[in-house]
Amino acid sequence: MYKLWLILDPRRTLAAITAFLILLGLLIHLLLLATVDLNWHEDGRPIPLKAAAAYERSQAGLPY
Amino acid sequence: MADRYNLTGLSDEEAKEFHSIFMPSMYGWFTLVVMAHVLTHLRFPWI
Repeated sequence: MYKLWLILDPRRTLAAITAFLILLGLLIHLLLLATVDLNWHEDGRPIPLKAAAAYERSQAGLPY
Repeated sequence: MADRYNLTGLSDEEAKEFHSIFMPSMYGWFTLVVMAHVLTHLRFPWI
């Protein structure tokens, strides 16, 4: 298997793999952010601080 | 002639040395990727 590097230039191969993986990662992240189901920025989690505090207060039986 | 002509100009020893770093790195990357997918699927199952 090591003879692969007698055919493929290691420097160019590493550069190509690095560029490919970075672009693939960016592409997948952007695709997921463009969906409704898998967008982790606008899924309401964690709930906003005010809503969380109000829930905590209601669970504690506080009237305000 | 120590080494036969080849496309990259690496000797057999150099190719072996690069390979011995490349393959474990690749498997390490695959492990990382699989772990990331497992953790992500536990948190946000998409199937």
